[in-house]
Amino acid sequence: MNALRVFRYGLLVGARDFLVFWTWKTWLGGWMLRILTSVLVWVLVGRLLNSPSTLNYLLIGNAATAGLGTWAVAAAAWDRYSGTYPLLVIAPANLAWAIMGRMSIWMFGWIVSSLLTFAFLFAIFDLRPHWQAIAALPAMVALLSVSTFFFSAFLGSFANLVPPLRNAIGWALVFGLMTLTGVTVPITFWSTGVQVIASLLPVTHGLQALRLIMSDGPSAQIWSAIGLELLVATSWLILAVMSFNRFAERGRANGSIELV
Amino acid sequence: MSAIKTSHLQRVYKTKNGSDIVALDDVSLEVEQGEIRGLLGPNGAGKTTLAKILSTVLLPTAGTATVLGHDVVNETNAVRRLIGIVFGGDRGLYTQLTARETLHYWAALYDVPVRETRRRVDALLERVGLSDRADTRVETYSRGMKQRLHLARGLISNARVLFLDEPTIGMDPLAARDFRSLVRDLRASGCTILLTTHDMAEAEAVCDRVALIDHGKLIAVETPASLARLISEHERIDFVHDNATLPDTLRHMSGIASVTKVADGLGHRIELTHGHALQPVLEFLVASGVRQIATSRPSLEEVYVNVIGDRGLRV
Repeated sequence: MNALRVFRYGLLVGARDFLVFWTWKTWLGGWMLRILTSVLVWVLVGRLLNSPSTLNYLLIGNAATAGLGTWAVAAAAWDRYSGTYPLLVIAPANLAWAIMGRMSIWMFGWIVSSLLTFAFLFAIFDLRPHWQAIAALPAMVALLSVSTFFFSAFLGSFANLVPPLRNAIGWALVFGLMTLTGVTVPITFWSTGVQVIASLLPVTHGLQALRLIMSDGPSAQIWSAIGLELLVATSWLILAVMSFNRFAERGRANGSIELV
Repeated sequence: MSAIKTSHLQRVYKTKNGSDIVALDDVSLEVEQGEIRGLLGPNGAGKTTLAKILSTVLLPTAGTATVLGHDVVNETNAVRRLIGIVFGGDRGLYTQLTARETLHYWAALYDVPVRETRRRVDALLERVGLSDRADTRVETYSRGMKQRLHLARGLISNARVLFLDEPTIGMDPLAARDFRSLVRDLRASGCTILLTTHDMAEAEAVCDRVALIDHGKLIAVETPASLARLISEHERIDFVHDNATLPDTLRHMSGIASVTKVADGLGHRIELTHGHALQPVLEFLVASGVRQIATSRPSLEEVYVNVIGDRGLRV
């Protein structure tokens, strides 16, 4: 219970971080406009190829991951810069919940960005998905975002360890997921080894499930893919919590945690 | 039971080229419950390293340290529930939060029950004089207000041992005085405080006893009064004069430890062996026609390196 309470206050800190960077006007007119432009380019590629299935593939993949960005990973390092990190280390609560709470505001940003992108694309391409797909869409987008967030948290623990690399790590996350998990390129395009790696990453299974839902695919396959995505998400969450704590202990041993 | 006890505590850092830096060397120290103990030393003396080990931010290389009987290495969680740490400067706060939100956040991290949190936050805000600005963002606070909020944060868990690391650094004199008054009030509540500082006046104002530390070694433990006496005994006189024989004459006077040239020009510095020598030496200088004279006291650093160290005091 206390972990949730700590997470909630971390989220409050994150929300205030968010408001340092964005107002609702700049978020809609800057961030969302950029996202929509970028997704639109991919979807238009599908349309130019005159292939409804390609259009569908690119639309779902790009809209579902539209909001994905580097901020969450960067946010994992911010306690180092504000001098609050040593205080988190010596607090009795697990510091991972506090840091992940702060990071999580960006995950909520991903969810909203993605849902707005779907709404926009459905409107301008005059697409009419069946009602079950519409109903499942928010839950699936949330699952993909949560799963990606846990992976971001794991990578964020490294950004916290080496703060100057936070943006590089964030971009590696975006590049890796957009390239390997079937967002624009089917994972079958890659070699078997790369496919194995892709299966361990967030988004891969969830996106398969979402595409199956949108095309009214078999329930068994959908639930199987959702189960795998949940398994991947949980695994990254466990690794993230362990990693934050491991690096805190390492900092205590090598003296890299500065008080000021 | 002592509030803080260290035994042969040592901390060695490895540099990038593989060599060792001894930040803390064989430090044995005992602080009684309810005591305000100053830890005095220049930058790099090892004060913060000791505070970091005792507050579980850093592991010692050798030796042991306990806080209220709990080992800082093997009983880390028990220690963490008993301590608070406050450091100086602007850092360590979420400046976008309000003071009230800040304290609620740290109450959650210290697992203070929700119902108790509200009462404790209100009481602490009142105690540190921030009730009026409790719902204003910390980024708008002055340095002194931030420091008071830091103190409230350090106390949110009802800490029984508080580590204050250079808490008044950068504060204006009035704010620093108010802060020290708050620290003195804490003694009444039975809180043990370890205060690291390089400011003698601060140590004198709030500490029961002061541990002098330099180059990672504990040099002495004294009361602030005896430290002040040591400093006052070693006054010095700077003077400017073109009489080349005057320094030699001075060297033969009683109560003068040394006369040294301090600059390329005509300036000299007289180091006295005790405070009683000040008046006769000043009178002699005036009688000798010296018109540029200034007296000063050695810095704390000079006292404990050149004076206390030479006297061979031990804890």
